[in-house]
Amino acid sequence: MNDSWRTDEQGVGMPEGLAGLLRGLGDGAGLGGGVTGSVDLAVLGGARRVGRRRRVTRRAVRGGAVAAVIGIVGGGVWLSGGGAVQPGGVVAIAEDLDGDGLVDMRDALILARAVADGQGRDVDGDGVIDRGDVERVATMAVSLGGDGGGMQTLGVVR
Amino acid sequence: MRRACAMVLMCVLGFAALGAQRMGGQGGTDEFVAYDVIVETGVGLGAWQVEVRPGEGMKLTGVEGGTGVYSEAAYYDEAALRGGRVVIGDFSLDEQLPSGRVRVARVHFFVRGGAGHVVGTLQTAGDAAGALIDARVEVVRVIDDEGDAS
Repeated sequence: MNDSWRTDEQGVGMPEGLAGLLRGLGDGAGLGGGVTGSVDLAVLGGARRVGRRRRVTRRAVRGGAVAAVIGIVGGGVWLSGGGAVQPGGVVAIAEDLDGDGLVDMRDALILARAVADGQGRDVDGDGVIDRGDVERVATMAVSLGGDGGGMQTLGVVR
Repeated sequence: MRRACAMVLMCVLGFAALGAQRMGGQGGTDEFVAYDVIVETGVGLGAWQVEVRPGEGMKLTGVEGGTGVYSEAAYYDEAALRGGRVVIGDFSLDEQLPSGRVRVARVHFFVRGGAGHVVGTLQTAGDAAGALIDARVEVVRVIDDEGDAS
């Protein structure tokens, strides 16, 4: 083993005893008294390539995690009706007429009054504001599928 | 020998009677019962919503209307017919909204064993404009004209 290997350009050194041991190992393997500089460079290059591959893998994992978080948050908003986040963190949806974060029978009444006055909101997305929109809100209010015990609790993103 | 057979027969009959009584809840028989849902409020009741939670062995069979502006059957999720709780509710655009004790619905159950206990919880109540109002709910078992519980 030559001196340049013991304290190479990377500043890597080793105790003299260990260097002697390795020198003997190299002699036993028939390397003719040491490892050449080209072998050193080849080993170093290989190590750097492995390091680069690991960095690329880590970046890919990090990127995947970020994409997953964005997907989950986006999916949650989409499932809750795709509404906008109101001040206070409640996700507003069209069926929540009074904006209290719940869809209940009072919302159906508010919409029914508005529809009767020629106003209202197209909550079922059929392009028409009519009794069907009121039915949708009333049905949603008593649905057992939600997590609000009948009153559909909207997503809260506090 | 004959006496032993009689003893065994009596034991079998005794256990059978005990089992029948246990299957019949508190000694009653399977039957259909009805409960009135009454919402009490000081102002005109424009909208209401109540959760009705039946006891063990009870199964919803139907929802009937109440009185006045709420004489039509209320909204409810038909998934409740498979058992468990039910949420019922309705609203009215009528100009003359009822106040006081308002019978808003009648709920029918099949009861295994004849014993039943129903709990009602008011989820919301609103005035003519849909604003939140103070109210309370009562769920009362219906007694028919002959004094029998239906």
